[in-house]
Amino acid sequence: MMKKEQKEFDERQQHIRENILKHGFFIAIGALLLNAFLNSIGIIWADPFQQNILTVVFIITIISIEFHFNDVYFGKDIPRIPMLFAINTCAIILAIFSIKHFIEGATFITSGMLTDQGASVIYCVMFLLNGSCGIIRYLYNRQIDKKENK
Amino acid sequence: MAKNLKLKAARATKDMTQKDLADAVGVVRQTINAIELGEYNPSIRLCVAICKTLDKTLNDLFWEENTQQ
Repeated sequence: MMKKEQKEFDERQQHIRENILKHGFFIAIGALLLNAFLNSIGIIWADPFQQNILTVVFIITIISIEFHFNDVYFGKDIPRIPMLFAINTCAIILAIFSIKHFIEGATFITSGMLTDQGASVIYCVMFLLNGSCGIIRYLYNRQIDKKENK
Repeated sequence: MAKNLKLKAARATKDMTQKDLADAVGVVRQTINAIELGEYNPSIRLCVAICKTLDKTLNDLFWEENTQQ
């Protein structure tokens, strides 16, 4: 896996990814501790299964946004457009379902707890953030490449 | 870190864009940009690869003159 990463990312990108993953690790610890703390003081904000998944998805989204910001999300050999298409398609599908649930009158929060529909809204937002950052970075890179080639 | 104008000049002499040089040495364009802006210190391996591509020596491209007397 290390050799594969060396091929996909150059030395500068590897260095940036290492730094991001390092503090992503601490963000993960913070998020898990916060979740445990909230549970310990009686604040059950979602079903335990959803709590865990949402925490993980939140951490992955934060790290992904930082990767996009530093342009180290995609390696050299990974085609950007299909990947961005896949991420954004997932986000749009989740958004459609969320809107559908909203129109049908589903509740997103019940007795201070997120319902499954509420959790899917959050997943949708996370995917959208990830996908949007990817698109913005892609368009920005294209603009810079155009300027360079003038 | 100071900007690496020698690298930029050498690249321009060879009529190469940052992307051309990046592809030649196996990095991404942003890495070459970061080196030229002085924002990143490349490894010796990368320095040598860049020098070979631009037909220059390490001194030509990466030696910093001591301006303090």
